[in-house]
Amino acid sequence: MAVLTVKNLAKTFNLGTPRASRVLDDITFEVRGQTFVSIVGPSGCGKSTLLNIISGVEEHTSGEISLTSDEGRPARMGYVFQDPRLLPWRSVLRNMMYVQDDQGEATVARARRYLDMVGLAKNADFYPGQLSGGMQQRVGIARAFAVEPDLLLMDEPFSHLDAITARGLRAQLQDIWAQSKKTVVFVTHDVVEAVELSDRIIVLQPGGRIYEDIGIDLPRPRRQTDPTVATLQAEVLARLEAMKELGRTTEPVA
Amino acid sequence: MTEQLVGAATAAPPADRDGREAGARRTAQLRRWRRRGLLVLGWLAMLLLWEFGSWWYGSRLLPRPHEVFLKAVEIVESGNFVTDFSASVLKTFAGFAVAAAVGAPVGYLMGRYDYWRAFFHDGVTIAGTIPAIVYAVMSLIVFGLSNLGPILAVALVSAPYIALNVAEGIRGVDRSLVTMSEAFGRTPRQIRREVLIPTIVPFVFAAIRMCFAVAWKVEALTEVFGGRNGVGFQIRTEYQLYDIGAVLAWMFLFIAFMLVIERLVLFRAEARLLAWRPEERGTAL
Repeated sequence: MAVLTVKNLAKTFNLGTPRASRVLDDITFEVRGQTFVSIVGPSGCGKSTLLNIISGVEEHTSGEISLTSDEGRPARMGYVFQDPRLLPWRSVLRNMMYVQDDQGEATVARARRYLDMVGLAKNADFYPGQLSGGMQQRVGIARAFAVEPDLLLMDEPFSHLDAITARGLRAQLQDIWAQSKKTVVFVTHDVVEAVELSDRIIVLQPGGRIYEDIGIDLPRPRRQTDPTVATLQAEVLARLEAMKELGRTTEPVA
Repeated sequence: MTEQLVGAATAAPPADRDGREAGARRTAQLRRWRRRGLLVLGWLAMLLLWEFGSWWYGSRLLPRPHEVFLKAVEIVESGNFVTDFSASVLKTFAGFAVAAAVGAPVGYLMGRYDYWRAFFHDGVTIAGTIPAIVYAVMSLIVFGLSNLGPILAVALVSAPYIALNVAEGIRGVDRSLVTMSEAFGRTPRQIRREVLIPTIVPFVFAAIRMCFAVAWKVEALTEVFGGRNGVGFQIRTEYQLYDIGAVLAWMFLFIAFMLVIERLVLFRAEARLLAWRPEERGTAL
């Protein structure tokens, strides 16, 4: 079981210059295996930066971060970005194989299986340019799951899609997650989406501090139309509104 | 009721749809034939103009099209065509290889690092603006009548184009794809091979196309000035013999050969390597 530990993490851009700005401050949390955690917060609160630091694409200024897998091998990570980020010169299947270390037949079969799960089995030999935006994002999701990651990072993967496509993909994501049970850290500014998908919601406030860590104990699969989901969504939204009000009356954190 | 209305508005009866599709196919076919017809008409107009010119100036000054055609057949049959063309082709490709070996790494450095861009930029720009004839004359002064003159001239003309295009290609690399690769733990070597190189391929093709047209002319020009074999050398010889028909015949063979290389080699290689681009898919898939 993979465990992600983040301890006193801080990030300051342009450190040592007059333009220095702290985007993450004293972030501490732990995610244990098979949990779906969402990080929500207003724009500019450091959600995507936190994800980039966890993935290793960006350096942090201070604090500790570790990811352990229980099989004694280096932990694997998958990443779903806001945009699909597919190589336009590789077919769908070859895009999925690009991020795989092993190029054997079993891996190809696994990649095909995940493509099938997102409903694109017939499009394996298409180029990304031949697919719609929603289909490309589905390839991005399948690609990330197909590396069989110990930790899957998702950075607002549905924010660029229309409401109907996004709703379909959320349902598909829930199905795949229910089958694979990966540990997921999901960044979104959409509280409704977070409640629908997550076991836990970490709320970041402007200035990059954790405001609240909320557990979501609802049966799955969840749909937005379900009254209990809707009630909880309203409750979490109310808490975020309260945070916003608090921000107006107190000094900025950074 | 609403559903019925929506259904009636969107789903046309199959017979109607088939008819419309057949009509669209016929229109497209007609348009294709019209384009081909105009192409042939264009060629006929050029030949007529040429015939008129021959009649006006006399066929000694401007030989008639069929005379030039027969002369070209004679050149091909004599065997000179193969010898001189292969000499010219080899020199052009050798020059091209030198240009790629120098221009591509310079372009890579210019595209990848700002310091190297600052270092090379003005030199490469100046090298690209020097007239080809200057390179031809300089190469002859340096190497005399040897084959190295045309090779150097082609290399000097082509290298700046290749460097500038490769640099532009590298600068155009989508950073988000590099970040994606890093997030999935791809090595710098994998990123170079799978992200950087495919990005610069279209730019390299643009450079090759541009250079190819210029390189041939420079190569032939250098041979006209001081070659011992090759197409340019043959054109100069025929010019000295005042055989304008032969000069034109060599010129047309030269053009035909270039078109063959352009269509059969470059065009196909481009269609194959760039099959992922929507504008290429129409021809490649």
